Formats: sequence, structure tokens, C-alpha cells
Amino acid sequence: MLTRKRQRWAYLYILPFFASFLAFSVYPIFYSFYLSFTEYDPLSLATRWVGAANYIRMFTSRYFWDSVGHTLVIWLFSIIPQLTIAMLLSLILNERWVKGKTALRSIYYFPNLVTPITIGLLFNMLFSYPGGTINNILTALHLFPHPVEFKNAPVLAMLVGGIAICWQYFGYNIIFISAGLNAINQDVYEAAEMDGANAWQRTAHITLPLIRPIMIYVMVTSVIGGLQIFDIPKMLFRDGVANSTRTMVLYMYESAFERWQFGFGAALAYGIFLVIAVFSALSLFVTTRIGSKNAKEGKTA
Amino acid sequence: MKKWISLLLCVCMTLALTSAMAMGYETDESLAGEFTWWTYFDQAPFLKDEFNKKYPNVTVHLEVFGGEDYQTKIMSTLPSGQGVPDLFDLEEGYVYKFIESPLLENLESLGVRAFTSDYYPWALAMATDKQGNIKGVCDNVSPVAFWYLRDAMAEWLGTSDDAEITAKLSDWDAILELSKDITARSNGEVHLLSNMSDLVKVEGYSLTPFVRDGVFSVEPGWVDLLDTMRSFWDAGVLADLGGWSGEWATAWNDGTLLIRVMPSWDFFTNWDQNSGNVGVAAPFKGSYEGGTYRAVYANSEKKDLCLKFIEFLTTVPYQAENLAVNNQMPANMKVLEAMGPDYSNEKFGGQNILQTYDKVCQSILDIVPDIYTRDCQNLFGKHANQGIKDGLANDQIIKNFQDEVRDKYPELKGL
Repeated sequence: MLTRKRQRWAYLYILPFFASFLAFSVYPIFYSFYLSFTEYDPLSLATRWVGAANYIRMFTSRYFWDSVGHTLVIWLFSIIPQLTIAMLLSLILNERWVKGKTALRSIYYFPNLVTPITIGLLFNMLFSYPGGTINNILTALHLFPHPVEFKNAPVLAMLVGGIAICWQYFGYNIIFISAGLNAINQDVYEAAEMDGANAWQRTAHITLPLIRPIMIYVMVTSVIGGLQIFDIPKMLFRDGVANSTRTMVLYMYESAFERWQFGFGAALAYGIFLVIAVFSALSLFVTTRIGSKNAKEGKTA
Repeated sequence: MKKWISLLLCVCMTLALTSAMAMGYETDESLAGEFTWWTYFDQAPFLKDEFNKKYPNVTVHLEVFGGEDYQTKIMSTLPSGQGVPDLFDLEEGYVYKFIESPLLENLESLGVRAFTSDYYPWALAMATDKQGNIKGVCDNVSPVAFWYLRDAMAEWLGTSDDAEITAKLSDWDAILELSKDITARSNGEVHLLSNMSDLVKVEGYSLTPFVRDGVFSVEPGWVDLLDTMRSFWDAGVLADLGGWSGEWATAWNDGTLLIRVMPSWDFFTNWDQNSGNVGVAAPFKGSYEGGTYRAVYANSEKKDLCLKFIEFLTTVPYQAENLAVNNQMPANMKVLEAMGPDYSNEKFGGQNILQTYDKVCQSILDIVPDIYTRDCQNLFGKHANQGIKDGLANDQIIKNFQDEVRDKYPELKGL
């Protein structure tokens, strides 16, 4: 009897969270879904039902698919060096002989505290043409005879976007990977050492397989976060050639908040959700598959 | 007899205006109250302070919001009816989206036409709805001019005289020839113009807008402009510095870029370095860029105070002060009359910039812009720049441009 009474109170305690969750998360999700089938005038608040027109427009828009492609390329340019650097530094920081680990981790994490707008502006200045810092270095070292116009070369513009995002997030990933490394029981390494395993073998056959769950988490969250990139490309090279730095979310932002096409913007939000869901599932599948394969091979060996 | 009456009236008006300016504002303590004003404009506190010199008992709750999201804030606040400011500023880039809304007070019905009868017509047209009602009022206009440094012009064009410089920059052919000459003489170190977008800035409001009454079309003048842009690019005479970039501003302030095509509100001049050395020339086509319009919330209970505020910002003494302090070109043509032909601005080497800007303003054609006008111009400039650099033919450039317009505005016909 007392327990049942207590349970009722428990519902009351969790009510504030669920009330705000319903009002600020669930309701907007359903409302934006409804909005995606309408044309909406934000000043008169009038809506007009247009059926699937916004979705048809989205799926037939070359510019939407271009933005999907640009997002993926920028994400790839960022995630590959990001995880590589994070993994290498985490492994180094995990070694006993490294001094000042906490300070170094804090320094690496620092770019993550800088706002994306600031990073966008910073990299814009670094890579500006013709007198940006990078161009000055390249020409001073005679690596290039003329300054490089990063903005006007689609691949370079996307590469700069990737570098900026990598710079912001590699320290963030170090935190996760380091946590994964710390969780590995030292007895396993000691046993391997006694069996004569060298450093590379310990890393390849113990460390990497054991931090696989962390890597899957980092990979999936980076897909979800990385495909939503917006602020840095927005500030970096506005109107880059061939709209090369226009990402999916930036395309949605321009449609909804610059041209006030909120119905279309809502449809784009669902399109982006689909793209992210597909790539998240794909990355989960691939990383799990690779892990299982390695595990099987290990067992067989 | 008529002549004498006209002359007498002119003398009286000039005397009245001159005395008004000389005396500052006549304080009116009888008007009291408070209202809220939202803006994105960093010079708004100046207007507020000037207003309070005349009306010390009116409290203006001014809130300045920076960034691009200001328009989103206004857009979402207005229909909610909650916490809506009595008065708010709208920028030229997006004022057209708001103008037809009944949430903006019809200032025409409040008698604003009487205060603005001496405004440049195109400046009012920007904030006039389809029924011809004024919905917003500005205190300055933004005519586009050729900005130059006098010493740099003396070195490379052989003159620092404003009239002579204007004469030398009489059309694109003349400018191209000068560009070739300067680039050759300086071994490519000095350039007359920066980039191809400068040409669009000058021509933008002299060509039929791409969209009229919801129908898209490209008049031959735009294609001719492509050819002109290409001739500049092919000649290799452009500095090719991104407009409004740090390098662009530095090059001009250092005298290696001779002309910037900029509106009167320019904030890229290093006045510490170049005060007294700056000059402006009226381009051969009239154009403008930017503008801040003050609108009143239709359900505001402080409309009378807002109206007084709007009346104040249209007056000659205030706009003259705004010119003197902020270099803002007055929207009221009476300021020009009041200041007279002897007006000179020390920052501009004693030049009568009012006359120069007035020449530009008078030559701006009566084109009433809409939500598509500026955006289509910008898109055209973007595709023209890139297409010419990539060696595309005009047809392909126009096609690329049309494709993007169609993607952005599928409701347009003619695409």
C-alpha cells in the first residue's frame, strides 16, 4: 500500500521533465511534420495544405542533393583525421612515461570550448585570399608561386571546412577514447607482455578490440553530429564556388529563415533526419561487422 | 509676380532651416511618455539621444540586437503579440518580406506623407506596400559611389580634382582603358577596380529587375553586362580581392586599390590614416545598397509617440546632424538646400559630398524592388563571377543562374 502511494509521488517528481519534454521536444516534432505538408506564412500564421509538394520539391532539387554530398565530403575530411589524431594522442597519453597528461588533455579539449562561429571566422581569416596566414606561409616557403584561392576551389573549400571541424572536435574524442583505454584492465597487458607481445601487437590485438564499443559510440555520434554541421560552414566561406560549403542544415536554414519557406524547411528537416538515420545505421552496421569479423578471426587464431 | 513669391518663399524656408540648425532642436517638454524600439543598427543610440534633446520627457527603451537573426526575432515576435516593440527597424535586404503585413501600421494614415514629401521617391518606394501606403521611413539613403584616395588618384590618374576624376570614369570602356594603363605602369601592383561584382553594384538598379509581378526574365542589358565583366576579367586588370574582405579594405587604404564601389555608409575607411584624403565620385549609373526603415507595430498603444519619433528623424536639423557626425547621406532633399552649395566635408578633403550623392540619388531609376530583386542580383553576380572565371559562355552562366533561382523560388513563372 505504502509502495503504491510512493509510486504516485514518483510520477509527480518526474512530471516536470516529461511536461517540458512533451512541450518542447515532442510537440515541435509533430508540429514540424504537419508543417512540412503546408505552406506557412509566419506573419499571418496562415497555413495552406500542399500535400507532398514540399517533399517532391526536396527530392527533385539538385541543390538539396548537392548539399548532402557536400556535407558528406566535409564530414569525411573531418572525421578521418579527427579519429586518427584522437586515437594516436590517446594512445600516447595512455603511456606511463608521458608527463602532464591532464594538462595536455585540457589543452587538446580547449578548441571544443570555442564557439563554432568564432572557429568559422578564424579559419576564414587563416585561409583568406590572397593575404591569409596560410597563404603567406605557403608563398613565403615558396611552396606555391601564387596565393591559393581556397574559397574558389570546391574540394579545397570543403577540405578547409573539414580541418576546422577536426580542430574543434579531436580533443572531444580524446576524452572518450582515453576513458575507453583507462577502462582496459592492466592485467591483460601484463599477461601479453609476459607472453612476449610487443607494443604494436598489444595495441592491435588488445587495445583496439577492447575499445571497440567506445569507437562505435564515437563513430555513430560523429555521424549524427557531423552530418548536422552548420555554423562553421556558414561563417567560413559564404557562397563558396558551386555552393561547395553549403551543407544540408545550411540549405534548410536558408530556405526557412532567409526565404521564410517554413513548410519546405520542415520537409528538409525530415529529409536530413532520413539521411542521418541511414548513415548512422550504416556506420553502426560497418563498425559492428568489422568488430565481429576481427573477433572471429581472433578466436580462430 | 510668381517669381518674386517663389523667391520670397525660398528665402524664408532657407532662413528657417538655417536657424533651426544653428539653434539645434527646440526643446518640447510637453510631450511625455515611453515606448520600446528594437533595432540591429549600432548608430541607433545616436538617434535616440538626438530625439531626447528635443523631447527630454519621452523615454525610449532601445534594444539593439546584433546578427542576422534579428529579422527572425521580429518575424516571430510580431504575430505572437507578446512583447512586441512599438517601433522596430527593418533592413533593406528583408524589409520587403514585412511590408505587406497588416501588423505594420499604415503610416500613410498617420500623416507621414507630409513629413516625407521632400524625400527621394525611390527611398520611400522601398517601404511602400502594393496599395501605395508607406509602411516604413528611413532617415538616410545609401547611394553607391566610387570611393578613392586623393593622393593615389593624383599619382595614377594625374588629378585629385573630383570633377576631373568623375569625367575620367565616364563609362566602362573608359574605366577599362584606365585600368589597363594603371596595371601596366605599376607592373600589376596597383589596380583601379577590385572585382567583377563592382560592375553589378553600379548597374544593378539601372536594368530591369529579373522578377516583375512574379515573372522571371533576363533583359538583354544583363547579358551585355556579362560581356563587360568578361572584358575586365580577360584583360587581367582586376585586383580580384573579395569585396568587404580585410585584404580589399587594406589595399584601398594603402592606395594599391584605387576605387571601391561602396554606398555612402561605408565603414571600411581608415579615417585615422586617410581623413581629408578621401573623395567620392558619382558613377555614371545610379544605384544604392542598404537602408534602415523604421516601422510601427499596428497594435501598439504608443503610435502617437512613435509618429513623433518618425517625424523627428525626417527633419532637416536631425538629418544634417546625422550627416555631420555619422557621414550618413540625408533622405530629405531639403537638407541639401539647407546646407547650400558651399557645404564641404573636411574628412573628404573639403568636397561637397552632398552634391555628389545627390547626383547619384537623382539618377536612380524609379524601380520598386520586391523580395526577389536584391537576392536575384546577388545570385546573378555570384554566377557571373564564377562562370566568367571558369570560362563559361553567357548562355551557360544564365542557365546556371536560372537553375538556382528556380530552386530558391519555385513559385516564379518564366523559368
